[in-house]
Amino acid sequence: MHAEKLKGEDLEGQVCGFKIAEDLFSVPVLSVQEVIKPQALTKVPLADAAVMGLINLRGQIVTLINLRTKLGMPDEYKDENYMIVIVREGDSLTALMVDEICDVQDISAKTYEPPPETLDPNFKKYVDSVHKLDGELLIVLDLEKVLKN
Amino acid sequence: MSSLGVDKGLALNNGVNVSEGFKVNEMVREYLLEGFEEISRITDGLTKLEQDPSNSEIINSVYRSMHTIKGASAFLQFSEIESFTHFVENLLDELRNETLKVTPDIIDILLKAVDHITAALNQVELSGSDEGCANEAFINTVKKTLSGGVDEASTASEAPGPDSSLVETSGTLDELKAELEKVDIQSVESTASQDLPGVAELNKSFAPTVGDGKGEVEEAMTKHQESSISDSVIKVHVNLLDKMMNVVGELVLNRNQILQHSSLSDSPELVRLANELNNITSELQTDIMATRMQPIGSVLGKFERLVRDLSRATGKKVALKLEGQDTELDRTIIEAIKDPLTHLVRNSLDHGIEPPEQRAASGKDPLGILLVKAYHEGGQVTIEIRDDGSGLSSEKILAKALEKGLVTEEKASEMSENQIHHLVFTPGFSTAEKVTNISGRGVGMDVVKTNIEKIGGQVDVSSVQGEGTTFKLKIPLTLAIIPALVVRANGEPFAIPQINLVELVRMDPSNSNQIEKVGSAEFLRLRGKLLPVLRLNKILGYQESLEKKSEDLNVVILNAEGMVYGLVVDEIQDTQEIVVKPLGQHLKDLNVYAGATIMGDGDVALILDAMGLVQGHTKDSDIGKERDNEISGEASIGFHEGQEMILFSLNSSATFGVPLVLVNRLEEFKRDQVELVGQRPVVQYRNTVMPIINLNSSLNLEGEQNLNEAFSVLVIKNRNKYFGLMVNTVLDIQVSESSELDSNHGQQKGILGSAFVGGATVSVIDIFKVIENSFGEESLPPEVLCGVGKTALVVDDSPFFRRIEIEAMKGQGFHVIEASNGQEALEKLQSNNVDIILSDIEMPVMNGYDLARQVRSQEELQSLPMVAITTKYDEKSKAEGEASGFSVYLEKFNKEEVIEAVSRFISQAS
Repeated sequence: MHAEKLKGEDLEGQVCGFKIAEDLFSVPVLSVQEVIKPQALTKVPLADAAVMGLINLRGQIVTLINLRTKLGMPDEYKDENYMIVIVREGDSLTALMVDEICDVQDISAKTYEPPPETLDPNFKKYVDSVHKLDGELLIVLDLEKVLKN
Repeated sequence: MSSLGVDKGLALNNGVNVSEGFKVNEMVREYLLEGFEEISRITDGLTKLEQDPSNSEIINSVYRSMHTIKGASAFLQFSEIESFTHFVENLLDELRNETLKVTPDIIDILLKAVDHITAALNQVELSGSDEGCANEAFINTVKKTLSGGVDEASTASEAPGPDSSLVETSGTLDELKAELEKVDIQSVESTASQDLPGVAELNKSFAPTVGDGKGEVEEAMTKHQESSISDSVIKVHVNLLDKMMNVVGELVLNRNQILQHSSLSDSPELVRLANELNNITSELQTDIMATRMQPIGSVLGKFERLVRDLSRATGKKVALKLEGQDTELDRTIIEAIKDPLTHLVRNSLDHGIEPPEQRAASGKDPLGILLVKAYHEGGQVTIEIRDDGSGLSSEKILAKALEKGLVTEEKASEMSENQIHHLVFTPGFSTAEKVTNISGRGVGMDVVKTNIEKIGGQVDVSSVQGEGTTFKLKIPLTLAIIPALVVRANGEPFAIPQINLVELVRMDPSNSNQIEKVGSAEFLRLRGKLLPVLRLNKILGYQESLEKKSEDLNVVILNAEGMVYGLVVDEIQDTQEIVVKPLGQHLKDLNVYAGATIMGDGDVALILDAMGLVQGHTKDSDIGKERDNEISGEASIGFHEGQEMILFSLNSSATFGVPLVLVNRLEEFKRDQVELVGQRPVVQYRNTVMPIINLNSSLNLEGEQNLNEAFSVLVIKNRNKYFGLMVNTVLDIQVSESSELDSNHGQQKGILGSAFVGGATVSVIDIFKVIENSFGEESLPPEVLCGVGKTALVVDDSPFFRRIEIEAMKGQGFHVIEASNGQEALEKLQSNNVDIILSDIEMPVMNGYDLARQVRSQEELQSLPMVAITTKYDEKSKAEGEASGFSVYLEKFNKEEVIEAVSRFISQAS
């Protein structure tokens, strides 16, 4: 469970990968509770633009966050062509909207890079670290910041 | 406290109390429960100790248990049990210090003592008294024998032959045992022979044992214990209860979904099963809820001691009266209100009730009364803490608030009594002149208020100086499952907690009772009250659909902490029981939602927050814009306490106002609707011809004529005839901060004076004067003036209303005398001959009720007509008004109604 708390260079272990707009993102695998298909969604008027609505996860009410909006990427979801990653932070669950789910990846200090300075600051603030994988870069999100309002 | 005796309620129902004459109260019940538990722990420990005599841990634990019983006995003043357990505790202490050795014989003595304590507890359960339980005979025998034994034992340890001394000791102990058996029976006999409440029962239950010896005693005890408190209750971990509660919550939702499906199904069997499931689930839900319910007495009972100690510490004489201890609340709520309640009780003792000398000096009974009363009211539990002390001192509160910078001087001068009283809830406020260790240790009333509001409750204070203070807490029964009304806006479901719901209104668009507009704000007139109206679609940022315009308008009337308003929704659905679930942190900031819930069909619905809707709304709207920076508490009381004014503009930089109660309707007329009837403009209105008065010309305000196509008119009904007052623009409806009226200002013709409304000065128009001036007496419909040659006494603390009432009475030809409170009115009555009294209810010094009672107590005034005219208009107040002697109780202020009542009484009298 400690891996959850680790950050940056110290972060080692497995992360759950997912794609958003061709980029490969990930969150620590221990913070992921499950991955589900799109559900009936209740919209929340007046809420932040990134809040897509509320879903009923077996009796628990979970807020669905659109990572594209959160990260300042173009919002492109039509119909239900997305997947939902349920993540746990402390006691609360949050649902993240992603394009598609990828493999679980191993990361370590060897693959670690700090977030590139050239990133858009509005994007960069949610990035914990970048890892060099074979042929592509994996962005590890700082869940705490993503989930914070 | 990690665990909870689940079953206090059940224990009551099971008829545990064998005796009829005596009912074990909550605290004694807890004491007994704990006592029996400790006893079984001690017995267990003692038998283990016998196997393992050197285990100091066991001795310590037995010692602690005995100490607990002793402490609890002392607390409840079972002094005989206390002294007995004290003795046993000392014995155990000697074992602990190893001045006494653990031997089977010592264990025997201790077990014997434990049996005696058990018997004593049983006696307490039966009779409520521990008389005769000290069992000094036992103690003396033990002491006598032990001192010999111990001495010998200690000498023996020095002596070379320990074996023989041990034999010696056990020899004396054998004697002791024999004697103890006698003593025990004697003590039972002596108890039984005493003339105590419940002794008859005791006598019966012990009667066979007295003659037949020890075996029977034990048998009788076992028999008795079968029905005793200790066996009817088990302890369950609260976490388990909470979990069960959650699971049942889910089951309820699941049942709802199944019910919905079954209603669509053709299978009668499924429908039957679903109905059965429905019944079982409901029952289970009720039972699980009941496990979490505790009588509030468990908290209130603790105040007896608190009040006793505090009154001793402060030298005050206080009698605590508790009412409604059986009222049940969810345990989480009981936990949450414990501290606020304690604070309020301390506060009443420390600040409320005066020292006996002071009370005697002011003619009160030196014994102060503190009443704590809990009762169910409208799906909530209300708890009142009422003292008959000195009451809140407005001057002191104001001085303090000014000193601490909580209000500005300007604001302070305009605050009503009630608003001033509510200042005590402002953070940083404490009137204690010095910090005592009773109250005023930095935990203020604001904490009380916040804590109560946190659990969805409300706090209110009312006080009459010299007579006392009442704090009223309104607490929801449970936090877990609440009934709610489901409405729809833009197709989405929203739940509104029933607790905020006042009523539902459906208006068809052709009905004249439509929504009236003032500026951009909308209002609904409902049974004489003007309520602000909000549209849910608009608040939530939805587009108002066009076709809705022609359909019925659904209005939900809500009460948000005393502020009543209407909420227009697209559709009203049914009520449901919902489980409130918190919103994630992304949505926490949205104060229009109180949470979310899962509906019968599995969909998620947001729960609306009645208060949040108003706050969210007022931020960007013009109603109540000025009110946002008011002191806290203003919003909740403003609509009741202040004077609602319609504000409008004329050809002047000043803002003008008319009290809303005097305005019948707001209308808009087109220019071409105006006809001239003999030089005077009129319009057709409600099948009559209504004269239009141009306020600009009435008040001699020069300026450009309003040339717009349409113009706004305030419709006034006077002497059964409509008058239209034409104004430039209706600006707003606002609540004035006080009902004060600065009438020095009122030199100008047609102006009653100026009032402070929404942070600005408003000139209040004397509309009756204006109408009179425009038409002259003769042009008004003929009317029999009932007051010629008669005298009326008008009593009202608000100069503003006094003025209106005086004008109304003068209009009837009365000679008018005025008074600003009941006391003054009584003085005026002594020197004047009065034919009728018109009085307000809520006034300083002496209120209307007391005035009426005083008047009625004088023989020559028995039949004097008394008319109450008040904003405090509800069934309860009305009943009180009539009981105290008012001839009629009217709502403030309908001139027609008042005049009608007055003329009726005057004609009856003559």
